[in-house]
This record gives sequence, C-alpha cells and structure tokens, in this order.
Amino acid sequence: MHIELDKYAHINSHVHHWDTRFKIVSLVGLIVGFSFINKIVLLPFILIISFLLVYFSRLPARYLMKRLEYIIPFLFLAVFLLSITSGGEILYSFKILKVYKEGLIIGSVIFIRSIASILIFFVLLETSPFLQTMKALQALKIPSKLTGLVFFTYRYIYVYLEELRKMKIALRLRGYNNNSVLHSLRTNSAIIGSLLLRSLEQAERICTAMVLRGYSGNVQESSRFSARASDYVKSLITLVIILVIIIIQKTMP
Amino acid sequence: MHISDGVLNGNIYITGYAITSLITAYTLKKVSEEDIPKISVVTSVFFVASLIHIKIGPTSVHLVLNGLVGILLGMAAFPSILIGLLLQAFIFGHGGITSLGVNAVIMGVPALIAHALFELRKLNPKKSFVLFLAFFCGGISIFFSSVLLSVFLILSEKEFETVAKIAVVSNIPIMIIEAIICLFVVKFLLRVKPQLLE
Repeated sequence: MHIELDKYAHINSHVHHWDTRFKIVSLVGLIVGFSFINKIVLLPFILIISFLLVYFSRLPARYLMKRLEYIIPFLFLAVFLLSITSGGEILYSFKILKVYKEGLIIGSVIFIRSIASILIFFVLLETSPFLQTMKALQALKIPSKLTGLVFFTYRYIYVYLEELRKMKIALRLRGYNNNSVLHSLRTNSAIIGSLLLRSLEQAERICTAMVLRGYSGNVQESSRFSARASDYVKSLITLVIILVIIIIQKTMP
Repeated sequence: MHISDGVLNGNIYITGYAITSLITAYTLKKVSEEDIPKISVVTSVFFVASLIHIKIGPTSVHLVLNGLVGILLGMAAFPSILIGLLLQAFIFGHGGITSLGVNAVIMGVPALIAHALFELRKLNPKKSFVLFLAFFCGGISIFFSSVLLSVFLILSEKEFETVAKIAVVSNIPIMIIEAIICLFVVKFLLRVKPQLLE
C-alpha cells in the first residue's frame, strides 16, 4: 500500500496561490452552499462553478476523472435504488420494476450535487501540500489536542504501513494465500493484534522520550500564513457566489 | 459506510457537526495532554488496519473496527475516529469535508457504546464472557453504525427509507466479520498482554 500525496500541489495557479486558511473556509462554505440546493434548474450552475474552479486550479482533468471513477458507481447505485423504491408517481413500469418520479428527481439532484461537491473537495485537497492544509486547520483555531492528534497520527501511519508490508511479505513466504474466510479472518486478526501490541509498547517509550525532551502536550507550530489582498478578493467572490445561489434557491417557487 | 459531500441536505451536515463538536469537547476533556501521543499511535494502527481487505467470495470488504477502537481507547475512541476519518478524507478523498461530522457520529457513537458494553466484563471476569462481549461489541457497533447511517439518510430525504433499510441489511455480513475479528484480536491480546485490556 502506497500513499501518494501532494502530486499536483506545486502547480502554478490562482487556486494554488490562494492562502490555505482562506481556501479551506471559502471552499467548505461553497460545498455547504451546494448541499442546500434542490432545484433542478440550479444544478447546471453548480456544475459549471465546480468545473470553472477545476479549470482555474489547472489540475489535470484526466486525473480528477480517474479519482471520480471510484465514486460514480456508488452514486449510480444510489440514484437507481432511490428511483425504484421512493414511492409516489409512477413514471415507467416494467413487470415488477417501477420507476418513480420523486425518486428520480431527488436521485439526480443528489448525483449532480455530489459530483460538484466532490470536485471542489478534490481541488481543496490537491492544491495545497497535505501538511500545509493541516497547519492551516491548526491556524483556524482547532483545539490543540486535536491538531496534536492529527500530526502524530499522520507521522505514525507510515511506520505501521511499513510494518504491515513486512508482515504481509512474511505471510506470503510462509505460504499464506487467503484461502478460507475463517483462516483469513484469524490471520488478519493476528496481524492487527500484533500491530496493536507493538504500537502500545512503542507508545510508552515514545511518550517517555517526548516528555524528557520537554513535551507538555502542546506542539507550537509557528504558522507562516500571511494573507494578501488577492486572498481576500478570491474569498469574497466565493462568498458572493454562495450567497447568490442560496438566495436564488430560497426565492424560487 | 461513508457518506460523501453533496448526498445529504445541508441542515443534516450542520447537525452532524454540532453533535460531533459536543461529543468531541466532552471526550477530549477526559483525555490528558500526555496521552495524546499514545492515542495517536493507536489511531494510526487502526488507520492502517482499515486498509486490510478481507476476501469473501467474489468481493472484498475493508475493516471498520470501530468496536475494537472503543474497547481499547474508551472515551478517547471518539476523537480517535474523528481524526481517522479526517485523515481518510484528506489523504484518500474518501468521505468528505462537510460530511465529516455526520460520519464521525455514525462511526464514533457506536464505538462509545462498545466501550460502555465492554465495561460489563467487570461483572463477570471469566474469559469466555469477556470473549463473548468482544464478539458482541464488534458486531453491534457495525449494526449501530448502519442504523445511524439510515437515520441520517431518512432525516435528509424521506424517499431514502427503502434505501436505508437495504443499507442495514447489506451490512449484516460485515457485522459478522467484524464480530469475529474483534473476538480474535481480544483473544490474542488476552493471551499475549492482558494488561492492555484492564
């Protein structure tokens, strides 16, 4: 298992240059705004907004499509199930299969809303280095215990990924090939058990070492964020877009 | 069992964040600053363990392990799961950012329930009873997660009713797998280092 991060985080674009704190708040606001949309006429607009954002971010469209591919089957399944189970006015019926109008409408709204939101979330993820995003969350006054948890957990994920990889090699060398379900459950439980055991023993030592070096529960990261005029402008534009779509949604019959 | 951005209605996402903030604030109060590195290390193990896929017939499922997190971390299970989900969203793009609150409730509340249920072992410290509790906690936490998922779906759009029922039923095989895994892991820990479960 390989975790690939920050592949496109260093492209030169307006979205990449946007202060990460401002970007998080604005784009999350935009996704929240989208989730209030349920009028079909507004759907093309939110799709266009998300496409424009992808365009400005200069992220490769093919890469984003590839990431979307995992989610689209689930969304189709949800739309399909909704349209045959929601009840209400029947649009089309074939033997026992009935397609309901309400379900199809809600299904399509959810489908488009999800695609638009996920694209914006991808733009948020891919346009800043992971650690910078986490530091921005810290700068946004998230409790220090939580940010401490984020940074330590992130560091140790790689340690245990490596352990897991070694254990899997050891298993294969001993002839393990995932045959019966019960056997695979037993083996995987043993893997999880020994990972936990190693980690908890290591945790004691890590803790002692950290306390000896002066750790008292607070990791002071000097945040080097400084907002420029352009950051305010970009966030202001996003805010206006959010307000406009919500107002149109509310005032429409 | 992730809900992604855009699926539910905005009010539900906001409600999810409100519930998550309250529970996080309460559970973090119970955690001392010095325990943070220890909780993080265990969180990262669970993060890595959730990448393990179990093959069943033609498909494979990945592990959730929220019951086990509850058993091992107690009250700290909730922030641990919240951070696990946050990292999953930001590293893999699974779940989402506005749905993080809802997802934390779906996964984290059952972990707290598992923690409370596992405390019952103090009434009867016999090994077979402890193992039964582990089995029960592993399974019931997935059940509660799928129920919470369904509740959020139905609260968002009432048309989701049948889909929500399908979601609960289709999680039954995962309930059984998680129950067995939880049983085996607790059995392993009891044999190797029983102090961890005290």
